[in-house]
Amino acid sequence: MSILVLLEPRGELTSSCLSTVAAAGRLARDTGVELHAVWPSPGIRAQLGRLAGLGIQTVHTVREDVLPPFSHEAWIPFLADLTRSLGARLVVAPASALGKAWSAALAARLDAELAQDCLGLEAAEGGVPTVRKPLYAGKIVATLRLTGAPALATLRAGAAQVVRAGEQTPEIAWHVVPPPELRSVVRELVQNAGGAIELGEARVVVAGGRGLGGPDNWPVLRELCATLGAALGASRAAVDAGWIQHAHQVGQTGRVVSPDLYIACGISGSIQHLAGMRGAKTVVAINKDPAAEIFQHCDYGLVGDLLQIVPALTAAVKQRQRRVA
Amino acid sequence: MKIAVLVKSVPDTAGTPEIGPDGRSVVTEHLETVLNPYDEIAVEEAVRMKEALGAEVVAVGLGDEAARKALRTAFAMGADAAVLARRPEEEPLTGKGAALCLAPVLRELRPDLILAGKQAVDDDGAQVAERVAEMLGYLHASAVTRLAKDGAQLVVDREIEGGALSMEFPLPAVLTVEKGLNTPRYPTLPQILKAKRREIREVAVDGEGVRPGWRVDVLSLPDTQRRRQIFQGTVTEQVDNLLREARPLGGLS
Amino acid sequence: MEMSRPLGVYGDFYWLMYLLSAGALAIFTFGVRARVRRWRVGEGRLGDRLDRPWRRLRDLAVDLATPRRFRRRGKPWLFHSLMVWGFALFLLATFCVLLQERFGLSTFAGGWYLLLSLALDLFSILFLAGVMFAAWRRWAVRPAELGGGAEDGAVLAVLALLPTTGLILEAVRMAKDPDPWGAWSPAGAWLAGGFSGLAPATLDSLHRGLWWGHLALSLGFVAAIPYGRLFHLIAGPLSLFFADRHRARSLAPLDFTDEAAERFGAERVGDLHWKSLVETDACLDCGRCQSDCPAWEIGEPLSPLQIGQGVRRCLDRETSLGRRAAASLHEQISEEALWACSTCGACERACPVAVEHVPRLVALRRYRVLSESRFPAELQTTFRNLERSGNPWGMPARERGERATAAGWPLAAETPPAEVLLWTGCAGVFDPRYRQVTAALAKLLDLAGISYVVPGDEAVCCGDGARRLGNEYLFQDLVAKNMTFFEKIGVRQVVTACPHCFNCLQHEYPQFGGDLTVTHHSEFLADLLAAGRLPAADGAEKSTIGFHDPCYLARYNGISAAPRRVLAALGSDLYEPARTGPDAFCCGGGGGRMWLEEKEGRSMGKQRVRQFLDGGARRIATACPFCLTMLSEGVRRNAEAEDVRVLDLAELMVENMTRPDRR
Repeated sequence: MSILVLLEPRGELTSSCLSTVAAAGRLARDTGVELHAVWPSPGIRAQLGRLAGLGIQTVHTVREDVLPPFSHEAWIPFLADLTRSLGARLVVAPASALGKAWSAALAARLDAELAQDCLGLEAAEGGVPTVRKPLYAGKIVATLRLTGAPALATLRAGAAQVVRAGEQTPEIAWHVVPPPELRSVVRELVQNAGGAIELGEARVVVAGGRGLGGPDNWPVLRELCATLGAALGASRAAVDAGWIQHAHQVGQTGRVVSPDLYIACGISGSIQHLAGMRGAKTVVAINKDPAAEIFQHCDYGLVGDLLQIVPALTAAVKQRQRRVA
Repeated sequence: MKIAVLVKSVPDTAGTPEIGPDGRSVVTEHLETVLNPYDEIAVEEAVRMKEALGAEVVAVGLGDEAARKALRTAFAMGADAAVLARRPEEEPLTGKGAALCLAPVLRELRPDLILAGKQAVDDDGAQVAERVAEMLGYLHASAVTRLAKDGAQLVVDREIEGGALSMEFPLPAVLTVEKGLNTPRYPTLPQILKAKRREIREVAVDGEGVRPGWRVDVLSLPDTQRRRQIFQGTVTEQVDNLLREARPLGGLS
Repeated sequence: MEMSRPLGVYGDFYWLMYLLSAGALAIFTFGVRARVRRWRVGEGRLGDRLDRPWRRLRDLAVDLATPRRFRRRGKPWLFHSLMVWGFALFLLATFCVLLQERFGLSTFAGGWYLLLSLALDLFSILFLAGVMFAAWRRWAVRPAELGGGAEDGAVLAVLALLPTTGLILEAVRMAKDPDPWGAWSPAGAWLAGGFSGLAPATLDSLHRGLWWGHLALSLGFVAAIPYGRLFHLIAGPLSLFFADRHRARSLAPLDFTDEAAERFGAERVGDLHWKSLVETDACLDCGRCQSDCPAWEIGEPLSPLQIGQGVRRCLDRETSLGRRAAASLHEQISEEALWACSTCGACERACPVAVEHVPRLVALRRYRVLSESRFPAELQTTFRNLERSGNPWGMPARERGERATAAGWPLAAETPPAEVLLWTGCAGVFDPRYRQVTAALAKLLDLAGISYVVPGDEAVCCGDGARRLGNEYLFQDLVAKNMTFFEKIGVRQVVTACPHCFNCLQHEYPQFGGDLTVTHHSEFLADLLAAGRLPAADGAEKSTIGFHDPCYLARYNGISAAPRRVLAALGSDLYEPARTGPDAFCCGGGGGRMWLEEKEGRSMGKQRVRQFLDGGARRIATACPFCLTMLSEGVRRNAEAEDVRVLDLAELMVENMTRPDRR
């Protein structure tokens, strides 16, 4: 019996990937089973240091890049074989785009259940893994006991705190597989240009309103956008005043967005603006008027001058990003 | 060319589902039923390919009366045919179960391309299409934001964090679509009314091996009210508190 | 001596007169039939507009006799009326002569004859004066709104010639034969002096020539009526007779049960009601609809005049004798113009021939929305929200009840029947600003000791916005849901603070079985004040206040006195801008415009606020959630309006009653 962690198929140990390992590690410890990981990309040696102290016994990978990275067609058969040979009771992966897609394919191969995008992972009695899975856009959370074996789960970022116990790095197990005959080809990985993120699909939006005071203060928000990888939005008041283009308008007659995080700066919170961002999972509001309507519709509110708060926030986030990296 | 589109009826996410009296089931009868928004994008893409390449579009659904709504919407948007896989009413299906029911129907249809939304917004399962692909031996790609047909090859861009993965592979294949691939059309009223009269072919599926591999222990309603946690104090204090309390923000840093 | 004059002077040649008349009549009839055939291209039956015929006749008579179709345009009314009345008189006189000559009736004799003679003389002059004024206005003043061209000039020339030849004819007659009653034809008598020097034989020839000339001119005029702009003489009154004067407030529903229907709304002229086609002939491009249109005034490409001209062009194209071509109405009106309309109805109020602009525009919108799904992108959101959440902002449906309960308003479904259903409308419960108005109104009801309940989740938006945007399907869906609610709670008496809800529930819900008595809160509060059920405020308002009349209250429903009674009771110093009451300038929120983006900073609300600022008003009162929103927005956009406040009547009353200096 063991737990297998499918590390991020993008070939990066993202914070979401590490928190997945942490969750799996905790479960493995609590249920007294081995924790294995598989690195479906080249260059494991360079990453080994970052996997220290997380409880992974062995990292499995394939020698000499026989299996091209990013190709699930290439890797899924190997992953299925590995799962079976390890007798893994549970396979977890980060709930990234590839993590979820690869897990679905792997689950089909293993004829196993898969719980996607889970918030947390625990053990129920008998060591049966239990996950908390959001339904209906997070309005309901289901606690699911994964009775079938094996079972798969993908975990969201922040599913567990990354706590390193010691400096022990895992062993590497090199697997030999015959070169597969592939029908699909991965042509290239296109990185997002550092340029603007599109408002409609953005996971994070930073929006400015009348509180910006004019067209000159927007670079402060753009800086925060760049730091968070966010799209820039605006209230109707700012657009009407000509401070920013209409393409950024969030609201009833602009764009309706439902990002994971919405930061409203200097926005009063009129109903037609709320209609455009109500679907945001988390709302942070920054406004100098404590009676502003927006504070009734936010999760976290900061009362104060946005021209001071936003730069401070940007700086603090940047500092944290440097620390984690 | 034959394109099958997997469509699902889901409750409108603007509403709030409730938890049933046994604490382990979800009640959604009071909510409007709509075509899953991601599936809408898939249907739109299929219809566009029909308009450009003369393909035949078959909408495939699973379930009961509610599933018909999704099929009718697909008709209104331009689907040529619709198939409803019916199974005896039992426990709600997991992704594994749904794929087990749908695979034989699709195997019989033998489409060149299967499109589906990347996930259903009720259970956020994000796996049925990929499972069907593996069961049928079709290649697959998820979260597609760009799609082009180059002869017998498909060229797609898949959205991943921070960028896109460009892949190329031959038909037959399964693609799940992400927001941004297209903007679904709003069917005209005559199309909606006509769709009400179109025939939906029903296929019985026996649901062999469809027993769920998980058990619902409990369902809970997390607090959906906004927290309204206000931070006062100096700028430094406010920012520190915010980064500590707001997990999503903390997760990005 | 008999009070009359000799008739039948050319009796021997009457066969010629009858021949000419028959000819003229034949040409006239042929022309009229061709015109009527054009009208029959439209849909609907004659019976649609024949209900209450005496009422229609009476309305027509009042339209022709009074200035009510010529708002704020006194001089054109006067001079046009002189021509109308003169013409009616000439027709009447001719008829009288005919009856006397052919049937021996005493219709051209006695005191009546004398009166008629005097009137004819008088009106010949006045008719000419009317024509002169028209000519002066057209060619000297040249108002921007006035359309038309060469044909109008020709018509004016003929119209000038008719009474002129008539007068000269009379003068020659009076010069030729002594007229004992000549004093009753003063103009003729005066002119006769100019012919007195002529020889009798000359006078005879002159008279003969003028008589037949005048006859020919008149008959020619009659024959020509159906063939040009002159047809307005017939089409105008017909348009007035067949008008449904309140059609705009209760638009015709569409029938969605017809399974074969391919088209909804108006794409071609044949899809419009035949009344709209009558209007193409009644309309003489006076242009008042355009110049009164608030959208046009702020620079939108919307012109009701141009839409009407477009309909006429399409009808011409589809019925032309030569090549007939299908013509889409939608090529005549730009997308921008179609959606710029707030259905304020100023165009209808300005129109002298009762052109029904609003239903015609909504028919065009219905086609775009229902048959083509082609409408501004931002409406997708609004329609989707209405469909799924029952309100245009997409707020969760259950919040309709939750917010009400949180504010302490009893829910209809949970409370025993009350005296009134306080219909909050969507804004009244979801918009934080307008919730304050509902709270104020609720407080006033409490003070007056009137029990009320409010709707909860089972009620949805009244649907006014959806209907006026052309989405009739969505509208009927919303109505059905609300009808279920009304039937369930069995309340009949409804009070609402929103004129759109008021108009819709009162006038449009009966189309679907609704049977409610709806009162707008301005009337309700005014009545309560008058009955002493609310403490009459006595203090004077310190600042000048203006009242902005909501279009759907004042213009659509004639309610403008009640809000002023309320303001008077509060001792307000009221400023009335030029466009006030039923002539008010729209705030820009109606017709679904509340859910549409304003283009390039063009804003009716901003314009309207400026009209109040010009009068020194520092507070603007209104009685509609759209007006409140649009005017507040207008205040924000006007640099000099920093401290101007926009308030609802109910808020003003509560504020007044809770002033510290009141006991």
